[in-house]
Amino acid sequence: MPRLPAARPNAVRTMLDAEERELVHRLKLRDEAAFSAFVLRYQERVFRLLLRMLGDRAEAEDLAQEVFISIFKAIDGFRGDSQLSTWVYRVAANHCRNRIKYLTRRRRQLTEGYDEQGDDHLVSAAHHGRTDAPDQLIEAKQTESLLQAGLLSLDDEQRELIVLREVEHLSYEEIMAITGLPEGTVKSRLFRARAGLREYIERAERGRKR
Amino acid sequence: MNSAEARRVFDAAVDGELDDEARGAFEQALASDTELAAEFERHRSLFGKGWEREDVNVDLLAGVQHKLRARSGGRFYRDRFAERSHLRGLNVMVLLSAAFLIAVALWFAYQLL
Repeated sequence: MPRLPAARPNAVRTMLDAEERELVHRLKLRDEAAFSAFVLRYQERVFRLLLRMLGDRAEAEDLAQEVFISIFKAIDGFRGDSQLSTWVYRVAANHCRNRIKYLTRRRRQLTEGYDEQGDDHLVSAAHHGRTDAPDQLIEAKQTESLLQAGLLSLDDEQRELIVLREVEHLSYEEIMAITGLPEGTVKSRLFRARAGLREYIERAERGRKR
Repeated sequence: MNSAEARRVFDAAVDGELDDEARGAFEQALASDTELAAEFERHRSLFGKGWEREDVNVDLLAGVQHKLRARSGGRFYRDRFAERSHLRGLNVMVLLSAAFLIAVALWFAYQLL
């Protein structure tokens, strides 16, 4: 019988520790050295979130820079009633939602009049880079691109929740603080997102075996 | 707990959110239904450990500094170019003053002639 996993952390620290308080204080003074340290500390987390959400490295890099510039300008609005990282994720998620809306509008304008590709392009995206070489690296790459294609097949809200929970390993409380959604909604959407992703991956793997 | 009920709590089981009683019932359901156990293993392999956080290898600092410098008109992350542009106004004043002094000197010279 499979052993059930131990609980993942759900409690969240809401108070800033002394180091974060000092960092925020210096950021509010527009201390350039402190801001550089802040960018170096958070750049991977912000970029990873945006990369998973947008599925495009150049777009994610550009948006991540905009996120940090917004934070530089808006740090006075950070009251310290959540962790700094939660606030950073919230700013990044808001930017990301806006960028997705913009990109969707632009894509719709560009593809107007052309036939819809349907779902098949998602499966073929999952097969992208497939080779028969028995190489673990290639296998890992295939799994990675399958997961990313699966993520992109979800709607934006579901994708955001999956990324925050499964990629960034955040607690439900942190996710609630970032998205502004109540716990029940987070859990039910996450439930549907996981089911959708599982279904997508099973469908893609069945297609691969054929 | 029957198989359908157990399927509904896959997420909670993976997240470790089941209390002792529900956890026991869930494990019994898995033990009595091999198909359910296989499905749960599949679900857990996807969502149980959390996905690997791949090394994204990104360096945003130079780009952020560059944009901040440009958008603040050289106020932040000022480089030598920005400092020069800051002094450009001062240079203009010096040139105007020099031109004025030369003009005054020429005027006196003309008066003396």
